[in-house]
Amino acid sequence: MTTSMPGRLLSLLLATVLLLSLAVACGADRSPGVEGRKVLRIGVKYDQPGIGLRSHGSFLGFDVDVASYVAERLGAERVEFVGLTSGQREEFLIGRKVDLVVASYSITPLRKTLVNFAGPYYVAHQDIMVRGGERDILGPRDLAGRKLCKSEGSNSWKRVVEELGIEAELVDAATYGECVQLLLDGGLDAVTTDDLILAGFALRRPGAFRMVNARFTDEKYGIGLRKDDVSGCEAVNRAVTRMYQDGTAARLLAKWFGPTGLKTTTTVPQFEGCG
Amino acid sequence: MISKVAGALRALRRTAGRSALPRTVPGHLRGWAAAALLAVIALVAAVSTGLEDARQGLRLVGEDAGPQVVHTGHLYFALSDMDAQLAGLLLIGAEHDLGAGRDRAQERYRARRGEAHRALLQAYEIAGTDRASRRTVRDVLNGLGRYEQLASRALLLNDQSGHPAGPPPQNVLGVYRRATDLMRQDILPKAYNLTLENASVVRRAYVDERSHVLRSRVAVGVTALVLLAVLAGLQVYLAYRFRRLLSPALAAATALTLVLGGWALLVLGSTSSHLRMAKEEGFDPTLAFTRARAISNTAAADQTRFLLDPRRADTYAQVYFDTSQAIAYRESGNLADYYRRLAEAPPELGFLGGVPQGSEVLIRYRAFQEQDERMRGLVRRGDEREAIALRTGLMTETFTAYDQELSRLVAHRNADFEREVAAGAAALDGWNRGLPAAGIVLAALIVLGVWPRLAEYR
Repeated sequence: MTTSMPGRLLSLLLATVLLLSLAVACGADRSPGVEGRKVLRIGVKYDQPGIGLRSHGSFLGFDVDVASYVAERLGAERVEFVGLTSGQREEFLIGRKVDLVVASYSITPLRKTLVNFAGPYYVAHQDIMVRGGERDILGPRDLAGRKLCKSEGSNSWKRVVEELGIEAELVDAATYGECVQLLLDGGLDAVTTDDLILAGFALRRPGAFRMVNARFTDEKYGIGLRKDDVSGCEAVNRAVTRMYQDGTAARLLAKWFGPTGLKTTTTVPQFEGCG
Repeated sequence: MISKVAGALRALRRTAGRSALPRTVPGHLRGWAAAALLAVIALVAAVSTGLEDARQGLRLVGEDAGPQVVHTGHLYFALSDMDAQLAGLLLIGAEHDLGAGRDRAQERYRARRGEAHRALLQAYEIAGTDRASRRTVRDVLNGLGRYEQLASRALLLNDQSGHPAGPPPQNVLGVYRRATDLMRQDILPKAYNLTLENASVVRRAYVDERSHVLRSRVAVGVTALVLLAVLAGLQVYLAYRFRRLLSPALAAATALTLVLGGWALLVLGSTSSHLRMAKEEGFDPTLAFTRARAISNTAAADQTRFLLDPRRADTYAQVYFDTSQAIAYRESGNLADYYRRLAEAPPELGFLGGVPQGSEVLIRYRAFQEQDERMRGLVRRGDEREAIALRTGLMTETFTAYDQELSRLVAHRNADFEREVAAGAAALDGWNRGLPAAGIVLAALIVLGVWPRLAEYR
């Protein structure tokens, strides 16, 4: 028995050390964020030509390409795109149905209370699109008394009517797609929203429309992440910086919006800051 | 995990049951002494690693990355103010004595240019081996060169035109638009992103450091407990084998272990809490006020640009509204709404979100917005001249008063930051010599406790 007493004591000690060190190791690294994930689920628009459009089961557009670039920089091996509407962006992020949202997602102070915004990866500007032959509308002030589209769930029309106080005649429509059709048919004089969105529609019917190039607001397109993923947000910012430095951003902007004659900015935007 | 540990335990017992452990009394004594000495080494190593980690964290946060955020904040401010001064010079045209006057604006432009160049050199040094940041600094430097060319050209054309106060002729405006677009869309974003990148370095260092210190505390606690247990075991063995109730040397070693372990835990805890205070009460508000100062300056410049370029006036007004919302958010649909709501209650969100109702910074920010309302009202009523006189005169002073308050807050919070970092570093002082000494004393006490008993077997 004398030999086993010190033996037992020692083995008990060693077991305690083993247990405690295992507990410490388990508590240390558990990253809940987007960094180092093998598969990233990214929410994109599915109904915006040029930005995020579902076609034959895959997604195409500027946002989709930006998302793929960022995912690769984050070290993801595969990306699963999830189509979503504007109203679903916060819900899908918070409910963990997607890891990132790249969906012409404007950064606003209120949204910042719900999600983390990396970027902006692009600053779009609100612009006005008219029919190709229209010559009288040169800026937002010329919209007074003219028929302007009021798309459901969007506040672009408010920028003109409320912020600038211009008395345009509002015509209701469900989506921007419908607005564009109405403009083509003559039921409207102008559609106003972000220049990238308008350019996407203009691309589908070359010559039918003209961009006014008024650029009267700044719309900061951010990449949405969950509120607690500050580290992931910073990593996305580094990816966006890189995207501009290596010329990818300029190439993608030219690829998607070059043919429309839209003036794009090819230098990195001013970030919002994470957290 | 539990089964793994149980498995290890069984294996250990098996070897113990066979003959890996010594069977004779001197052998046991030596085994215990060796275990105790190993535990001393482990404890000293754990404490020393913990202290070194804490020291490194303080250095990274306090001496390197933290101050860099303040430097790059200066860079942004100087660049933004260059464009503001240029816009002001073009706006007053040939009326050299309007508002604060041409000489002062020119002097300020030159001073800011000098500051920007100095800050850029510093930023390049700071960027160190980070390739993306170095590239950003180089791009800013190149952009600034192009900007200065455009600015001189705009000023020259402006002087040649000899226009009265108000929007300059198209040729001047054309050059100014190129200059300001370059500044606002290309140069300033990069300067701002540099600040954010440095801030992210601080945040990462802080998070790493907190988890290191936590781990070190656990390691110190565990190794101290192991040493205590070995010492207790040794005491029990001596009592059992040699009928001695207490070895004074081993009792002293136990007491010293308690003091050393407890003290190390306290010091690591205190460094960690100083680091937390430095980050949350010092660094975070410093960063927020630095950023507020940067974008407030662009807001003030947007007021001047609003008067300078009628074709883009709506854009500048809208950007001004957005920027104001980022500084101090009140839910509102347009500027008129915003002025009203801002006067009613303190902002909920934004850089000034959460500042108390009576605070000096809020009082001065409100004064700045009240005059903005007056200026835009004058323009609406067609009294542009009065609006220009207001912007280049009284409003410059009001903005400076607000900006000075922000600077004071930056300095104040930065002082908090430095104080906490210094306090954290002070807590670590004296351990360089104290720790090895404690280790040697512990080892000596253990040897002293075992030696006389071993001698009985010679």
